[in-house]
Amino acid sequence: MIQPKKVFRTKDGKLGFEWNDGTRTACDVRTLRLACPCALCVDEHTGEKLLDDSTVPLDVKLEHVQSIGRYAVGLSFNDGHRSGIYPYDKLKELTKTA
Amino acid sequence: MQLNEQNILSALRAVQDPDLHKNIVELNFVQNLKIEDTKVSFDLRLTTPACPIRDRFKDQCIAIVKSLGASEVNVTFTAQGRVGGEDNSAAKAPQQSYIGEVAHVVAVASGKGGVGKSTVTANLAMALSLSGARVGILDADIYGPSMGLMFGIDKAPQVFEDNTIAPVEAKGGISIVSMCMFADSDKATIWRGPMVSQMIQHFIHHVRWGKLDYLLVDFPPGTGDIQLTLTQNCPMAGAVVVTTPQEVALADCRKGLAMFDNVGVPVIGVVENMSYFICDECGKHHNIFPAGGGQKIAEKWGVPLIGKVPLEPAVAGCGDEGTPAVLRYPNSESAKVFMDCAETVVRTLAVFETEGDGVLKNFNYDFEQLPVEDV
Repeated sequence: MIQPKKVFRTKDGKLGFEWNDGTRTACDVRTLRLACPCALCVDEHTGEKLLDDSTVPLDVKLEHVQSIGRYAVGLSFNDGHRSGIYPYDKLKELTKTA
Repeated sequence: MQLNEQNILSALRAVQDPDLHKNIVELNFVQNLKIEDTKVSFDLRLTTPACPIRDRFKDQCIAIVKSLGASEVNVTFTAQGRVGGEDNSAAKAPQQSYIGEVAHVVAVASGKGGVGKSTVTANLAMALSLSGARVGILDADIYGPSMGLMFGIDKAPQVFEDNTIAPVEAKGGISIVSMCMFADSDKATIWRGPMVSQMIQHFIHHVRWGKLDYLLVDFPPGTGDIQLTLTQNCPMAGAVVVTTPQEVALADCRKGLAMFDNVGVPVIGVVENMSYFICDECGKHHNIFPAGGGQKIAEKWGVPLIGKVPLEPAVAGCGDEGTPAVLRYPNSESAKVFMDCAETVVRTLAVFETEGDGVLKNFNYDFEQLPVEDV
């Protein structure tokens, strides 16, 4: 089970994690916002993306990073969007490729 | 017609919410209305992000506003109840929470109902308490609470001015909170999911548990709303999954195991209840169900089988009489199994703790306050 040991931010404003397998990954905030897996952004049944990327401000900022149980983080953004729950394994993939 | 806020809002009153029987303006769904020349944009604040008819709302709204002369209409969905918001939601922890004083939260669950979760919870709790730990039970089965009966509780918990609850101290010094303390036993709790989720959150965060070594959470059967709320709101140290030996129960047990896997809760082990029957006349062991079911599932999923609890007529009545078997018949075979299980739980949790050393468990960071580092 992949879990974070540390949460940090980089000089250029990315959100970073140190994981319990020793790796470190980071990802810029807008990419995280665009990848939001919540039911407002992704159709629950078809998996089709509902979020229109152009509606997300280019300078969207992250406000809070909160643990959800033992498997995910909830991210709240300053565009008012806070319903996304990002499971750790998905988050690691996402931040690795970004 | 002129395009102004008043006109648009009064036109939008034509859009009805079929569930709430009110129009969307009356329900305050329409927010952030902006008009620039003939371009109109607004938010629709839905009651849930997964509102099944949101697209219908959107189409209706766009059609209506366009008929007023707008050239472009932008509708954005927002939802009430979200992570970290002011308003409470399934994923948000209330400001003040007492769950932090509990050292280990342990889930006792099963995929299927009727396998004896509550019996196992009550006896494990009693066994832990007898071995010297401070123990509590959160009965999360809102629809069918049974802890009141298992411990013979007949008093209501104290509720303080700030709406926090003091748990009822039952036999063996175990602190218990259960829905049965708040509802009439002859009346059914007929609630939809969100109501139950709120009650569960209230139980998790606003009960003054005090310093506990172990809090056992008696899960309701299944893998739905309540189970998710529970696993999202308190960081579970581990889970015990209860099953009976026959195939139907095992199939559901697998789902229970898979659920904990998905939400990152390590499984301590499987307890097989009603493993065999001990005859009260001759003491012979009879396998009523095909033997070895719990063993099979444990091997297949790589989780240990931590106990096989027999059916003993004398012991089986304990639950109904309000004293867990471990306390009433400490020398029975069942009681010994429960004592062993409790020991395994304690040891396994200690192992989990060292394995998970340095892993963040419960956090809520302000992004701006995070340390700046390189990747």
